[in-house]
Amino acid sequence: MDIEKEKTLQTLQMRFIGKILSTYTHEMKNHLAIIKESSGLIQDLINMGKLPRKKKDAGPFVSTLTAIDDQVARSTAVISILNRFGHRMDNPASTFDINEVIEELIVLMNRLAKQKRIGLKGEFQREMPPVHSSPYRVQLILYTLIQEKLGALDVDGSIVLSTALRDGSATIRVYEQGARRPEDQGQDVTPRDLFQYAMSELKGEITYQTDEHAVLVSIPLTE
Amino acid sequence: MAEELEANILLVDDEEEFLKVLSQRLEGRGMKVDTSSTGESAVEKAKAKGFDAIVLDLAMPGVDGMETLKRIKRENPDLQIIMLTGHATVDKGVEAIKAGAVDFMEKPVDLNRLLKKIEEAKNKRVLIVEKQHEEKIKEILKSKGW
Repeated sequence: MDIEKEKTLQTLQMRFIGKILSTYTHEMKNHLAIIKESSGLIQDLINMGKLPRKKKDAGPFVSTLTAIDDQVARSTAVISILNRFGHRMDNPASTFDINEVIEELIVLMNRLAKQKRIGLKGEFQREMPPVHSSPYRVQLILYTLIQEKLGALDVDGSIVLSTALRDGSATIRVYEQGARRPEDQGQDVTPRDLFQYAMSELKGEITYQTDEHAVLVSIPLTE
Repeated sequence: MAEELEANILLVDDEEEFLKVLSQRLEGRGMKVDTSSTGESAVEKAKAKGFDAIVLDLAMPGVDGMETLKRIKRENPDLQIIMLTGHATVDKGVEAIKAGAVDFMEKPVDLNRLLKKIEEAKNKRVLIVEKQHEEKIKEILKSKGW
């Protein structure tokens, strides 16, 4: 084990967690703001004496209460995903569904992509056998690759994560759709040797397909 | 409920539901409210129409709140802009004030505080407009030799 590289990976992991937390607490504040204003609106209607006497007059109340329900549902979905993301770090390695781990990351990074008007999507091979590896380290590597592409792609572009089963490994290909920003035609900036090391520790591989601005990550199905 | 406040407001946020409920609450207090869900449309509306205050969300897709603030202030430096944000950091607030915002509030907002800020912004704008008129009149009088 390379202690220095492990330390760097841990620092990157902390930054990754920080970014996800700040993004989603921000999102939660938006949900809470809508809930707060919706309940305030109902109070306003009551204070104005606009209490409905008949069911048919209850329209504004029903739509506002529905908005509160919708926001609670959105918040619950976000919290569930965050909770699952947190538990990924319970053990250094575990057996998991690679599609599920990627889907989770896409949801967690969707707001970051949306802010830059870039799409983020998965193309999943169904019925993938489970892999035994470190889900949080796989997510860290994919997160860094996605961040790099978010910095390079022009608006209306997309980042795709596609999974496949190849030679006894689960593979994830991260590639781009759309043009790169004119000022950002340079090389990929991912710390390659660090991620080569991280993947070798997981008995996997990372291959940079530089001409296509794509990266292929392979994880063995068994330990 | 708070007292009525007559003011023309532009609310800018990418959360459509937030725009809908907050504008209903402000309208219920006597304000005329226009809304924009993007920075681009906010800049256009601010160019076309005079507002007493603009309430602008910081984090929006594409042209974000900070860039929208800068573009609006470039076109119309007298417009009073109150920034709203889910970011709980002081440095963002400082950056917004430096770029010309009159105030910076964290979501979810206390409506009474927001109303107070809107009233203050409106009063400030009235003073600026009055001062501009006064100076214009002085200029006219001077040019006529009166």
